[in-house]
Amino acid sequence: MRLRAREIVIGGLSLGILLIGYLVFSGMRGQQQYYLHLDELDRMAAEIDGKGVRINGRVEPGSIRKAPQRLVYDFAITDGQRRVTVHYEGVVSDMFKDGIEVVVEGRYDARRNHIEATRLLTKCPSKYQADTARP
Amino acid sequence: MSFPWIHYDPTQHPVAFVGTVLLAWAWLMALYAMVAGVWGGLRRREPWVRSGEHALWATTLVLSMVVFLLWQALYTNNFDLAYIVQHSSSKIPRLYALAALWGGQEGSLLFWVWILSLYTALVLLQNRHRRRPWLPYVSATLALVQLFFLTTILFAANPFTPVPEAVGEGRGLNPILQRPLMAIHPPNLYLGYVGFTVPFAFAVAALVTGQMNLEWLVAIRRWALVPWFFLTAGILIGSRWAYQELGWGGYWAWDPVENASLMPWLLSTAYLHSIMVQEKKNMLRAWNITLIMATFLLSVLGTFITRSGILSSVHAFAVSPIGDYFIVFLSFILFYGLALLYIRWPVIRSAQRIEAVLSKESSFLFNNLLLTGICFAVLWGTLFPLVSDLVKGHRITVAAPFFNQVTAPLGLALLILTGICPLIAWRRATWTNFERNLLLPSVFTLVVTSVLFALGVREALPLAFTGAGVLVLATTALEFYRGVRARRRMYGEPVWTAFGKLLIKHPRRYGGYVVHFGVVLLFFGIVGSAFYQVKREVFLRPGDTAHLQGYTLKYESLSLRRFPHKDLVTASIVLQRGDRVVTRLAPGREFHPNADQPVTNVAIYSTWRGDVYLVLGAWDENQGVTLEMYYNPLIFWFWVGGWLMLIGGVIVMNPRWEPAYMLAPQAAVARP
Repeated sequence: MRLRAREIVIGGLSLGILLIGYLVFSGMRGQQQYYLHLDELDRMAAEIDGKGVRINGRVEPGSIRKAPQRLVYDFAITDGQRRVTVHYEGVVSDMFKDGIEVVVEGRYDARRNHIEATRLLTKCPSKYQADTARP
Repeated sequence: MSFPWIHYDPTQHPVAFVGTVLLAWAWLMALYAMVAGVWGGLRRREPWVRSGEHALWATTLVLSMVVFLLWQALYTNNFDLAYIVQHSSSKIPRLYALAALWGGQEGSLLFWVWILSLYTALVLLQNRHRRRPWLPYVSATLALVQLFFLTTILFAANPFTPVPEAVGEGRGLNPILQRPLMAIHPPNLYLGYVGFTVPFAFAVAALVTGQMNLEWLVAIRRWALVPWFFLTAGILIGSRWAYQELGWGGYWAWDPVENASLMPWLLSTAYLHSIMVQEKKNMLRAWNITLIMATFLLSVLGTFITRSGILSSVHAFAVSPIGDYFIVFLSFILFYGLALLYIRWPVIRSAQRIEAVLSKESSFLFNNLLLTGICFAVLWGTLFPLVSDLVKGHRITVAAPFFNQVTAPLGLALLILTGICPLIAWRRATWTNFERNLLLPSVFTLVVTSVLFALGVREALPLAFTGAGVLVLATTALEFYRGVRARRRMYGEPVWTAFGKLLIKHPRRYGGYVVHFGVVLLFFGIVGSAFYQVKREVFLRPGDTAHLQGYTLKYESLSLRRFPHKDLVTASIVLQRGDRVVTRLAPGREFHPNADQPVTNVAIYSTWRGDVYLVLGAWDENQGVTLEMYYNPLIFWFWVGGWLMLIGGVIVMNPRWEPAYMLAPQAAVARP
């Protein structure tokens, strides 16, 4: 039996939709990062040990140590009560300094309560307005 | 709900009082315009329709007054207004003080609705005597959207809110935003976002009246093209700004704010392709309506994401007072859009069927599938934190690798389709014809790819992308060649005249090819910089040299210069190729007294082969500097491609109508 053009095209499109769906959902695997506050990090430490995390917090004043002649930084972020230490290599944003709000992405090591960061973002104050509006 | 402005004392806060009263006036007028439009349309009372349109003219006038009032207040540093205290200061250049209109949430919502009112005025002006059956609903829809934004502004984000206690100085504008590119980026983006309201309004009008004809089609297509152009420009300007100001070596980070602008761009691009199928074959009618409505929804969502900070913080929903308003509005549009579509489905659905697998129609269908597929992937990745927050109670984000991994194969497929689509005829193409057309470009592609392989390019994706890009260039060039040859034979024109006439006489077809050409160059830039970027960190003392991709960097000294409004730290570096001095580069940092943070001054030396991109990372007391050096191959072509896309867009917007399209069958469906 010869298929009509319409059926073939609809079949092809359906196959395409399935493929795209597969791409999207398989792409999710291994790319997920837990976006957490520091208190949640504390609570979920066992569950997320060794996994990707994205943590919001303020740079603990006085904690920044920079390796001489290299762009290697060790610092701690804090919410006032809890803290986590961070190691980061690379250029830091212009805004990076004591007390500013940062987002750190990387692997979490629960035993050392430490993040080996791959990305260090400082909040761009005018792109996002959450800071002033958050209750 | 409260009416806080009732308490604004006109003697104490005159500007706040006048601004808010004008906004309330515009609100009333938009409400009236909506009611009058719907009533006049349903009852077929033309005087009511006209009266509603007059009210819309009045909102345009009043909103312009509001905007100029705020501009005047910004220019003269009226720190009685909280908005001006937060987003401007007397120390910044006046041009950037004016740009603070779109620097914050309240002002940018006002800017949004003002642009919408300007678009509305243009639509009314254009259609005083045309497209009258649709106009009542077009203006009612435009009024509805204005009403929503004005409501949000008045009740949750009024830029005319006075400060509780007097202050003498504003907090200023972040210095990294005080750049020419940043002054023009938001207006372009907003002209894009806002502009999609117009085709949306025409789509709603078609659903309500059950009528679509060629005249309607011309309107909805052109009104989608204009915002597409501005959105493209806005996105490109934004990535250029990120590249030369942010100093992380790239131009696109899959940040929610960037994704927010990409999504409506993808859907409107799909729409601009599939609307041609409707023109030519009267097919995909319901699909096109759905697409343009989704584009509008994503534009509003994009404004919301950008302006509320909903995706940048760990837990959302309580983030910003405008959130509730946007969620209600988006749900309202979604619900009524779907309901209208459902009710009108029997009327608007297409009677024509696809006739052959190998036809332009079906290739456009796959183009639409890929573009909406990429859009879905971006939407899913962008909103996933919200979904997981609702489902699991904490946010799970997906980072850039997810987006790269998913969009790369889809983008590749799209590029290949761009290469073969122009070779396929409408309705029913013959395979022999198709193969003959494809032969030369494929051979060319194969040769180029083999040469690259022989030169040592072994990675699959770069080879595939380059191959697909070359295929598009070859087929597009072939199309131009044929067009020029035909004109030369027929009119005996010289080559360049024939080429120019091709663009002028058939702007849509050949302008479209120019856009495709631009897209390919853009992809070359992406592939070069994504796969072959070189990144190195060096520590240099004065007199030291470093090497990067055949260049020699000679570090001379570090200087500190003081200006009235900033201090500037600069490393001076001589860039050499062999012994020949190419240029001097000065990566540095600026310190502004009013801002907490220094600003990176990236130094870029750009050639068609690649960019040398230097960031001053750190320095010590002995003038030793740590430099982050990047080499971004082919990125030059990203910007050239971007310019070509815009030029192509301008050509396509040429109002000349291709005669062939006038012959398209257009059955106007009678009112049921």
